[in-house]
Amino acid sequence: MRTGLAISSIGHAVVLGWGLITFAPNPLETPRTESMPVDIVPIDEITQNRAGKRDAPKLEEPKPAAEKVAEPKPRQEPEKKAPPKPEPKIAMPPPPPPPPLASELKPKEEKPDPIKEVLAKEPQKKPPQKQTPKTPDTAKAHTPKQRDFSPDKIAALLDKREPQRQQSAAEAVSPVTSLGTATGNAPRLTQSEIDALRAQIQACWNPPVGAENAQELIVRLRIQFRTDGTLSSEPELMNRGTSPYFRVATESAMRAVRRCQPYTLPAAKYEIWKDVEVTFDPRDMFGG
Amino acid sequence: MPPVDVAHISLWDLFWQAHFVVKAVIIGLMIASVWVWAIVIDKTILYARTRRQMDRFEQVFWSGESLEDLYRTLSSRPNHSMAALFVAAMREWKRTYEGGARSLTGLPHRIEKVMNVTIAREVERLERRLLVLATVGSAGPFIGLFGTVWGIMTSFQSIAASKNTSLAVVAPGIAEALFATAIGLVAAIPATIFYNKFTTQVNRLAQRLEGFADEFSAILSRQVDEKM
Repeated sequence: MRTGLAISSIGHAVVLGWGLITFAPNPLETPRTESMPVDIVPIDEITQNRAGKRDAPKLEEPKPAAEKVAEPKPRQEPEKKAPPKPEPKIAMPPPPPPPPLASELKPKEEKPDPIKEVLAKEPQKKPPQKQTPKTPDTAKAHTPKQRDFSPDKIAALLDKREPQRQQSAAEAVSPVTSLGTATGNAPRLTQSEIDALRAQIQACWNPPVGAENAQELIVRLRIQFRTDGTLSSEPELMNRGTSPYFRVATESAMRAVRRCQPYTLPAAKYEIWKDVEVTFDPRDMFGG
Repeated sequence: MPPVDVAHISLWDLFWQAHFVVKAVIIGLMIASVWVWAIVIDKTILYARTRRQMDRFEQVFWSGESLEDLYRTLSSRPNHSMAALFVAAMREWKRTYEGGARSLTGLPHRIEKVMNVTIAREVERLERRLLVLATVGSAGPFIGLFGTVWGIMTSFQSIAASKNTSLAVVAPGIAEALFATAIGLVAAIPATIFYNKFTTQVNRLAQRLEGFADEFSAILSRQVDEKM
């Protein structure tokens, strides 16, 4: 037993000494940090502004970006292709009037000639060809156009400038910024809106002046609004006070609420502010 | 904010600044821990030695050596459990023979009785002080907790007195209070573990003694029957 006790005592002494040595130089030292001023800024307006504003300005910046992407490639090709296209069109009219003898003459005289020939050949198609003589009178271009409508040339007339649309769709995905959905409303009054209501009520409120124990004169009223900002019912007292002046404070608060209607509050959030509780604290009024 | 007095959180100051009750708890638990480890070391040595001696004795016993010779060598100093058992049985045997008893019918019964008593005494010797381990193991945390509660009470009183809830006021008191629980656990955990270990070891040794006693009494009763 003696050896055990000796070994145990020595062991404990060693452990304790080790603890004294190692524990001491490691004090619980917290680094001194500079005090950092922190402002609490309500960012409700930024984070919760989901209901679209109708009068929000449309952002037109993305559109030019899409055009710029599209322009370089397609326009160079069509410009090269375009000249050849008009040429055939211009070139076409000459071939139909094969008798270029009367090239100097007006086309009116030339065109009746083939028609008359056709009329002479086929007497059945009289009615349709009566119309054609009328059209040449109005414009020269009509008759050549009729001949352009041959199936072979339709392919050449087609506008092949497709890439313009493809490019703009591919490069910029939904370039127009979303203004929010009509139904997506953030169901909270923002701090600034609470402040607005508070300021409106405060403007009409004469707090009970000079009353002692102002902390006992805190009045909480439940207020119900109509959509136009007027009261839909009398303000309802939500708390009780023991101070003899509590009644006075309640009266003054109710008077303030009644006197200041209609209130201007965001109509879109009527569901939230149609039934609110407002605390009237003589020291510092707080609405909510 | 006043600068925190960092120098006063060493282990020694933690103890020295503590309340009287907390100090008493810490010192008591420290002593308990020393005592527990002393017992642990002592018992570890004792059990190892006992097992070794049992092995050696059984080897000698079953080697065919004459029981008389064995008795002669061991009777002077029956230094371990199994030898004590053997010597007690042999003494009873010899006393009956050398006393010239007329009847041997009661001898096996008497030998068994003697061996049972010896086993009980030996087991008691092996088990001695194990209860201290059990007590420290179960009560140590509570004692430490008592110190902690007391320390936290005083630290809250110091908060109330200084009317300052900064961590600098609260932390030393709570640290010293928790120190008491830590020491309580430090004492209790090994105590519990070694108590469990030692009780199983004692049981095993006692079983071994009983087995030997049965065998030896069988041998002696056979000899008695042969002599009758």
